[in-house]
Amino acid sequence: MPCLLAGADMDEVPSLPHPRGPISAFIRSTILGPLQEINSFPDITIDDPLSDDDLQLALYLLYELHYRGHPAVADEWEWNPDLLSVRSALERQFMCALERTVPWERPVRQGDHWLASVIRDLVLNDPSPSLSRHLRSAGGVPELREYLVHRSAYHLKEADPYSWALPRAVGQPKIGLAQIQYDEYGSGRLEWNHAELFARSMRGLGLDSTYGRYIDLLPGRTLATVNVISMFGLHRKYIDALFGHLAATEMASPQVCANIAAGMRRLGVSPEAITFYDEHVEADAVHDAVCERDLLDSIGRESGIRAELALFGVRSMLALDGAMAKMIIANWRAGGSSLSGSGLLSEGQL
Amino acid sequence: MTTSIDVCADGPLLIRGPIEIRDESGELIPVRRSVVALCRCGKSRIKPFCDATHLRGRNGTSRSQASLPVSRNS
Repeated sequence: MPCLLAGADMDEVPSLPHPRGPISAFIRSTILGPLQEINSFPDITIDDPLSDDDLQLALYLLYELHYRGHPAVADEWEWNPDLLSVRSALERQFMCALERTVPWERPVRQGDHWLASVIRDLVLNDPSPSLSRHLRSAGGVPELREYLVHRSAYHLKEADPYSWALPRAVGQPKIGLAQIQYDEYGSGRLEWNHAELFARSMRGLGLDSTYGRYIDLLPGRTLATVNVISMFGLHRKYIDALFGHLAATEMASPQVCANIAAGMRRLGVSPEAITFYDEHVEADAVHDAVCERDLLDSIGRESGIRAELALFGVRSMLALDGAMAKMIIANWRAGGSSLSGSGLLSEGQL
Repeated sequence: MTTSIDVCADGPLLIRGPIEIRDESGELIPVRRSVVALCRCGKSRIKPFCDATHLRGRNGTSRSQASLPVSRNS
């Protein structure tokens, strides 16, 4: 049997992101090497896992093995038990930090649509700074481009992390999720696939839409906003947290996307770049309604911890996305870049 | 397939299945997706479709807050 090395062209220079510390350096060099036992682990005690560049990049590299893989990395690493145990140790750090930040709460159940109402109060009264409001009324093109670079970690694989729930869900939540995902993936048309629309937005702003192109520029806080969905998605026990994360995202999105679209029009950005945001105003209002009917009402009717887990997912999304927004706004207010290193300047862009 | 319509509480009409929508002058409005949400609050900026504006009550407060009963003692 031939050796199934992915991208086995040895002349090709591996285009994995650069390491940000001992953990990501260890993961990177391990998966770039031949399949073998892992005998030594780096120390993985981290002060603040939610913002740690090294830990979050390491997790991102590991999760990516379950999506599209990496150039010049053997696909077999995806299910290597030693590597999975390293990932598990990293996830424990991430999850413990999340639980410290986002306390579990026992909600008061009132009325037929109580869970959607509780989530709506959390989402609409979120005290975090709003990047989209800033971009609507004040931000310039350089800030808009940085925003898209941050969001590219998710939008270039938009909807994929939530698809992990499809074979795991049952009943009405499964049907609702399938309907949302079909819409996300373009309702049967490649050109309307949301990840494709986002790639067009990036190109419309002169950015490179190659998958994974800007990972080196993304701070740990940005990577954490995507890693959390991968973690919820890849663990069946977190499926309701994944549903909560999805519901909160869909609920917030129509306003966010209307703001970005308005900001783009104010700045005279090409219409091609705006389609993604216009589309999401309509699509995510649909998805929000489907989430309420098919996911939240179903979960809310059940006893037990399902709803609590969904609320944990909501609060996780708000905490991590909020921390990212706070970091980005602080950098912009200080007159600097919100990206790692010298940001797009180092790319010869801006 | 039968087209179904869900009336969402304080929200849009959620329509699943094939439909045709015509505007006031009888012109077809393109419907690209297999499930659509039609505005019921009258505040959408993309009517006849919903843009989730209904979530935000007056003064930007959430719907459930805005609909809290007024205390008689206040």
